[in-house]
Amino acid sequence: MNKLLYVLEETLSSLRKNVILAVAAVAVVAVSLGILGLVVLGVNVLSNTIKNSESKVGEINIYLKDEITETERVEMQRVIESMPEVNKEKIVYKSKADALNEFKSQHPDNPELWELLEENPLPASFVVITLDPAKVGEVANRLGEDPAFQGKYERIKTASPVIEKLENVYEKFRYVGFLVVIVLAVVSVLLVSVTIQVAIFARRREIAVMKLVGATNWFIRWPFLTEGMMEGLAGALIAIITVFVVKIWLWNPLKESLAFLRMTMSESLLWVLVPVIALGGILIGAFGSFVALRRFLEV
Amino acid sequence: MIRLRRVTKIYKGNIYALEDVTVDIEKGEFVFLVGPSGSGKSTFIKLLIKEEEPTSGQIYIADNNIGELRSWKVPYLRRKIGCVFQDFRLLPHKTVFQNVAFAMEVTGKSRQLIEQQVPEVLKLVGLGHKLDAFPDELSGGEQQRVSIARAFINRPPILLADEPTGNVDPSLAAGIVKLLEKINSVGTTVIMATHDREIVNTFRKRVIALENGRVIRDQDRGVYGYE
Repeated sequence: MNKLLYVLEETLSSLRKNVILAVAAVAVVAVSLGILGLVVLGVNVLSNTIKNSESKVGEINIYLKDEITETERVEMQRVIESMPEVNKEKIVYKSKADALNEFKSQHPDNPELWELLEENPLPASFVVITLDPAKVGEVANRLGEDPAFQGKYERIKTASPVIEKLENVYEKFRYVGFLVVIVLAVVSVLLVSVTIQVAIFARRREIAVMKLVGATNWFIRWPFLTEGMMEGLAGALIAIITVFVVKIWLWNPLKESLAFLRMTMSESLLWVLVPVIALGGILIGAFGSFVALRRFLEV
Repeated sequence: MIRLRRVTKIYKGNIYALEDVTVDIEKGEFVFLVGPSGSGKSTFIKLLIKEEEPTSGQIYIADNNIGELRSWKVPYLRRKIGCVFQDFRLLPHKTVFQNVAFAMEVTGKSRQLIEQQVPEVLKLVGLGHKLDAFPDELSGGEQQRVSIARAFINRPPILLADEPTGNVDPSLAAGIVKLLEKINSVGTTVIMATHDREIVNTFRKRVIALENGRVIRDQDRGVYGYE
């Protein structure tokens, strides 16, 4: 108990003495962990979006004109089924009513979106899955040129080019993001280490006397170690607050206004991030102090 | 209590600080370690508290070979050896009381014990009335008394003093040695390195004389040197 109080007192008085450096160290820890948090969330959003889209790889949507007849529709289906590249069990016909229902279930929060409509604007469509997703483009082209389809469809859409772009962005974002985090973490460790070096230097007389009268090595080291860890933890708390602020004031409105992108964030991830960031801060602080102690305090 | 066996210390650059020194010091002795500057007195003391390692030879303290001591045990060795230096090494921002209490705090003594023992020991060294003074408000002699109180506060069986009268007014030097004598009288082994001829000749203790790192004389109730 006595010892604990001693360590706390020493830590606080030392932090007070080199406020400017400590603030700088805390700020850098906060920036690096804050970016870590945002990168993790960003990666999550991107990968969720890609996953949502990936289930559509190999998918061709053929939107039909409203005025086609039942016979024409059956003929089109026969043409599709005759193609060897197509997964025959997964050919789906969505009527106009099906499309509307699907739209409603995807936007349950915005009933006004469809209540305003006097008639159903959504087209009927075929959803065709190719056995090999790479064949999507080829199959779509051939369908578009087939006589049975001429003048009977609005549009044939394949999803893959968009997904490819998205995956590219995702890979780059992940690598660059984590690289930035690692570089900043190293910088934070060094900066914490500098503050501890200054603290050691400021207390060199005390340290000399402590050694002289037989204070144990850890008794001498602890206040410096806790000082570093407190700097790290302070930075971590700022980072956590930043992540929540971004989530609530930036992400939530963004998601609303870009609802058509169907971006999602795994909310539970946020709660995993809190202890991870806190622990990261403490580790950065401890490691920074450790480096300083190794280099500047031979006990 | 303290045994040196063929101890040699060579510093970088082939400087012999101590050469083939063999000495026995018994429990409760008072020893003057004499010799001119650079004769190896300070090295002798640094070796005993393991601030330096001998290049060769063994040092035993209370029958333990301190050369074999693991580094984490060194602090416990130092708790058994009080140290006093020419430059006092007091902490300028702490009061007399806090300076002495510091030696108890960092070795984990309770607040209650500190409150009780620090004034006692400061009274013993004659500073019972200056508990709240800061070091720069004291004379050299008084500062040295504070440092002796700090060295003695944890009742070590051995007290080492490296030129303790070096920065003290000559008229007050004898008082410092008398204080060390008082500490010696309760059973503490005291080793005092000095080149103060008058002090050595006045107090007539065992004298170990060093010259160029060698023991040239070891004499009970000795004087500083033959002339």
